Amino acid sequence: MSGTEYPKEILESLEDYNIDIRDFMPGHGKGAKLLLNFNKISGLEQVDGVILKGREIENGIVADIIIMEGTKIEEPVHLCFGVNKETGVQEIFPRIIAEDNTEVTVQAHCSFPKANGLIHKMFGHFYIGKNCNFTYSETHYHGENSGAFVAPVAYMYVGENSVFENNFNLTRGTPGKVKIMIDIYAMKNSVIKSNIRAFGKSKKDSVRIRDSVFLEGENARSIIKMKAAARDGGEVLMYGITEGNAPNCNGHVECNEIVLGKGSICRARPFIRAIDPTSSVSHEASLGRFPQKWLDELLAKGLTEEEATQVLIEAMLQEE
Amino acid sequence: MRENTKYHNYRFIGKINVDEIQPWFDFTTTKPWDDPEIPWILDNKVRREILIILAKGPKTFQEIYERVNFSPKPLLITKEEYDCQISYNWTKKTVENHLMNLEWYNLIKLINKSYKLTIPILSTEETEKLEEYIVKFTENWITIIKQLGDEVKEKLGDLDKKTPLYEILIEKTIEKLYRILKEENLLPNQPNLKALWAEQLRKIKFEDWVAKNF
Repeated sequence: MSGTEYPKEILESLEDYNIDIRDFMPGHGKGAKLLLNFNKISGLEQVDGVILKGREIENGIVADIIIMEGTKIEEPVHLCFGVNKETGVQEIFPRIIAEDNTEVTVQAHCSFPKANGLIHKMFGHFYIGKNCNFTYSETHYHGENSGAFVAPVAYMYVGENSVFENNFNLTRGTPGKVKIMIDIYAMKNSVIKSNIRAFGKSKKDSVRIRDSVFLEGENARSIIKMKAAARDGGEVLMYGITEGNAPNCNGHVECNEIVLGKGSICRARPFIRAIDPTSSVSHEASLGRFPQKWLDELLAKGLTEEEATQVLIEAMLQEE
Repeated sequence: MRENTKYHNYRFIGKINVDEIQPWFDFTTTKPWDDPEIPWILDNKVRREILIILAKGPKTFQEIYERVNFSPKPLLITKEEYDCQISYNWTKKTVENHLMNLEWYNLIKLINKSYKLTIPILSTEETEKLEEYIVKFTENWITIIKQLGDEVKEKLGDLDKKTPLYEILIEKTIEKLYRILKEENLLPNQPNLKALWAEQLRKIKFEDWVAKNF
């Protein structure tokens, strides 16, 4: 399939993230691919060790993505869920199973460049086996009208001795109304890293993200890093949960949020629970403005206050 | 296991007030999960699974432990095409921790080495049995609401302009109905008597939908 069959507006919509979706299209690179244009599968490419099967439904797709045992692939599995319409409802039901001893990155792009009353929902399940190295990165673009309502729910299970990295990025364009729920269950000796980035830019934007890690196996470890900014009336709620249910597990929730302009609101709700007496969980959160010293340093270099703030937000949202 | 601390007074002793199948998110209503009434104890899928297991009757620790572990299945790919080898096995210690939590919050109790629910949890089939009477109750309510429509408009018209009048009326009526039913011993005199729903029920519905459609 050539890139021209997929809407140009979607293909170019992640430029602000320095991502060109064309680089991930079928025919480009060696990774497996699944592209959805609203409710039509526009591209599907399989590679050795990866089974992809999708079924179109009225408003979206049901899909299985299986990474077979021992598969190690350098090129990411690419998923693109785009809608090039102003309104409508897109529902996607992906189920990803990564068998034992696999190493894979799944790169998902969700783009709704014209959204103006558009609803996107996901109900996804991720099952990661033992001894895996699995990265799931999801980059979103919801247009410039604050007109999307995006509500994904994902349940992720990470097997023994596996490393799982989850990255969610919604820092370009306007988010609209976003409610995300991620539950990650970490088994014995697994390591979880979850990075969430979001930016609410107007009073029509409301981003609420609940990211939970349940440490269910002995020695499981996790870190949730949530970074967000709200400006000009935007609202952001970062709700990071870590629960230590097994012996010697260890988890941490970190949340940094910057609030700018009148009417903006940032909220953090770290919720940690130590249930096993040998578990250890912690959190830290900082909300509010940037330290004046940082701004002063940039102002001294000739930047206006607005430019300096923008530089600091960019830096915060991009840092590891 | 019950220690006697000052927190004892804050322990959950009523019935859980959750009236959505998946209270933190529902596809049709998109009702948010961030409402404060959601008890954190139910955040965890393992604890919800334990409650679902106990909904079928009292179980010993070993019986619960054997039922908590699971192996995933693909949605579309058949077993002939691919047979999943992954399984998730919780340790006895972790299951024990979850049970202690549920017991501490008074959602289950241990009697003669068997765990038992202290709250009602309905299965999908049981819920479906209720449907006939839910429809009958609703139809009668609608008839009354329609019959009294003109009278309400005439007497409460001013109020209707500035408040969601019917929402208030229905809520207050339900409160009164509960009170009278309790006075007449048709409902047990306990606070917040509502059935607890669980996300697994939603999952079963979703899997039913997949099974029927694909």
